[in-house]
Amino acid sequence: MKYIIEVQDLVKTFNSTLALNGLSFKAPKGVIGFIGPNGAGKTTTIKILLGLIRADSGSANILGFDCWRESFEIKRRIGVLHEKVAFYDFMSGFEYLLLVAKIKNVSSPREEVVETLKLVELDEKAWYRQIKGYSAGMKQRLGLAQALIGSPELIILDEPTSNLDPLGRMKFLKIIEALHREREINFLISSHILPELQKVCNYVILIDKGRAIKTGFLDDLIKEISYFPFRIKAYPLEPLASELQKFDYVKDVSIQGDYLIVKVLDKSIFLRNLILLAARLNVTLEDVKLIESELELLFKEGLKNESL
Amino acid sequence: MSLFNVEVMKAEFKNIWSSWLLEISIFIPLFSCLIYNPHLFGIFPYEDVGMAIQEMVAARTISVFHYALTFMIVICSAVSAISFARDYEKGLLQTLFSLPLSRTEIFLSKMLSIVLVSSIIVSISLTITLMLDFYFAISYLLKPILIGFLMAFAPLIFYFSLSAFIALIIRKTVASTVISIVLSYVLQASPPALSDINYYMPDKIPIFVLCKLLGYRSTPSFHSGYGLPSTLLANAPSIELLLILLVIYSIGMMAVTYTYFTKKMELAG
Repeated sequence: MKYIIEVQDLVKTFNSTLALNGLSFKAPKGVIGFIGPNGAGKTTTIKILLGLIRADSGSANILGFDCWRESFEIKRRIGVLHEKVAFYDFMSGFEYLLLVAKIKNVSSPREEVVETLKLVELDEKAWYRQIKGYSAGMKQRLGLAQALIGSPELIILDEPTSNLDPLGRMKFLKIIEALHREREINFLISSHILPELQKVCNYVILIDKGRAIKTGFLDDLIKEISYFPFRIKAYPLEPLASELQKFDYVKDVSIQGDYLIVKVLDKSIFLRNLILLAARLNVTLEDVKLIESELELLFKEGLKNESL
Repeated sequence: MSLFNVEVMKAEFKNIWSSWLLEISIFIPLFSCLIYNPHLFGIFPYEDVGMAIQEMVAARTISVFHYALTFMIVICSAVSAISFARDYEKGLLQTLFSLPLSRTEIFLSKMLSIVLVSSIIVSISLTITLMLDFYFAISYLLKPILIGFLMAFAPLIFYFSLSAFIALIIRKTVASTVISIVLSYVLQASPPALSDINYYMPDKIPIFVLCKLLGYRSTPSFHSGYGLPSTLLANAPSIELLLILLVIYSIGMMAVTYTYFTKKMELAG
């Protein structure tokens, strides 16, 4: 199977609000970033994919199964972590996962639950405590563990890191990266936190106003970005600024306080030449940073082009 | 795909019936049945009316069953509304719908854990009260208790389905619980005591059936809200018609809620 998710001309309205306006995309195996501004239709799409709501028209398939008529078959093969995590919170995390394992007909449920809890790094002391006492981060880990039970082919994560602190987010994404690398689990991740999402995803679907604006492999889409803004901390700034303006791959140079803001057309040539230039001009480079991640730039440019 | 999932049913049972709720649900109908014990107040002197023991048991069964069922219908309605609306609001329904469980399994797990427990509580009230009253004639009690348990099932299914439907439409815990409680009480209390409309009320039909099955013949002594007036009982439809009506009510309301839950309901919020 070439594509794990296929969506064709999906239309969905809620009362008079058009949530999806002929959404179409295909997603191959891998870690898929599903991005878009608030109200773009991400959660509606995910709910249609899970058979929680029915599209007014169009079709949606996961792993070759129709998302409404064959949603049971899909749910046997996938794992889900919703934005709003909820469990039987009178149970302990271990009990709950055991229930999920039994529902998913796992052959050795206890062993798999222990293995999964270790994998998501849920504190062992919390395994047998009631879920209602868990922190947001612990619930998120338990939610991921629930999605992992039963060796799914695809895991759908809707805003999985929204309740986590930066450290928790980093750890969470590392787990996802490892799961994809070691177990070849595919992910569809809807998230607002683009710099972090960029670290794990290799395919991107950008939607806005219920339509797909850009879809493709991240590496290919990055090539379409018109410029990359860099923030440079160096001493002295002026000679570097005047020299950089002479290069045709530099679009714009400006000094803002202690920083030099440079918009470049080709990121790799710029970075290579910057070091040589700094050495030639005897300029000390203290910090060179891409102001926005590639995914953020893609996001902004995609939305800008759409509104034109 | 199966109809029942025992694991989910066990989880639903614990989810719905927290220990305090279960204790209150047992205590209220039982207490009301016990407190309304005619022996306690001397208002129901069996010996004086010269009744046979079966008739005494039948009379007491009808009375206790009516009280226990009335309370349990209100409790069952509230619990059903809470169960569906709260799970929706918390997101648990969404979680369950995303697991490889059919909607039928989820619906039946909720229904059985509410209706079965409610019926058992009615039976507990019936058993304890009858045993206290008729400790000297235990062998006469099995039949009324068993029939009482079975007869409680249908109206409880009706009220469970009605309240669940309200909760699924409103999807707000407090509002749907209040509406379900008020509606279940109004439906039970609205028909005038001697009106023929009682024959067609889902909560009253089991009482007529119970009367007929236990051979209960009302006498004027039991009129004051205690038993059923003999005129009303004498003119009641046949047992077959009553049972058919009961099945239509319970299965019909359940079918409406079940169809909505399994085929139409969308978790958009």
